[in-house]
Amino acid sequence: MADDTGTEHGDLTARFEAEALPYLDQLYGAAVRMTRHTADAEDLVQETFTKAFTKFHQYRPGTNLKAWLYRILTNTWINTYRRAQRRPQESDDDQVEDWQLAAAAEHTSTGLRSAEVEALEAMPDEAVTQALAELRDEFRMAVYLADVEGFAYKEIAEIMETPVGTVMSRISRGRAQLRQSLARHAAEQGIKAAQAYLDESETEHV
Amino acid sequence: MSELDCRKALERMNQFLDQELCDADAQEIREHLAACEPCLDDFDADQVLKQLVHRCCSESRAPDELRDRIRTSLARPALDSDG
Repeated sequence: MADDTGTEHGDLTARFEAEALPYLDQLYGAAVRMTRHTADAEDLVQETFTKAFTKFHQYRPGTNLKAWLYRILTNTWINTYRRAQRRPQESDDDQVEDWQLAAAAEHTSTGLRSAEVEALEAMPDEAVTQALAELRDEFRMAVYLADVEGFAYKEIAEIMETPVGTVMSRISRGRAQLRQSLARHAAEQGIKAAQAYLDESETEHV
Repeated sequence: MSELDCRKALERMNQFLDQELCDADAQEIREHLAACEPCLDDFDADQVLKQLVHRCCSESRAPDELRDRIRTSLARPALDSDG
């Protein structure tokens, strides 16, 4: 009957509002990181919620709703927006070569590593988001899902629809690349600071 | 310590950091880190990096207009007609 359908729909809507809508802020945050563009992020999130609502009757209550929503977001991103987005110029070292990973798997213990930790701890947020934006999409996504949302590898594998081994590889390579670009950023800041110091001390001599 | 231990520890560093290792394997890594300063430095850097990524991206808030638009679209009748 029309009444029953209305009630059923009303119940589903109420459940969706109560259970799925609270994830809006988080999904928006993820969309911003994925698309690197707030206008695209809004469209992506809106489309995600529309799809999720349409499919909500398929969602099994009590199962991982957050992962379910992220999967829809990721699929929509890959299938719709990533194709349409103009890709920014990718840097030469956006490919972390195997030899670089192998080199990272060995030690040249000189105490330089703790300088790296100090530099990282002083890193401003903008530098981090910039470094994230420079990663390949799949690396960025995997690192984001692990580090920001705290998903387990198995959940990330379901969300990205790839094997766990691929997830691990993407996280590993994404992090290696982040460390590299943040180290470069810190070095550049160090050079700027040294230059500023020199400029200042030169003007004082007069 | 042998090079092999460091290589194995570094290979598993991400899994250890993400708490994906079983207790026995995690304990092995912990013991190695306690005895190997270079690996510990590496772990520290990875851990700080993970915290950085978490911190820089956690305070996200969807614009109010977006929230309103989504809520409005929910109020419309469902498009699907599955039984």
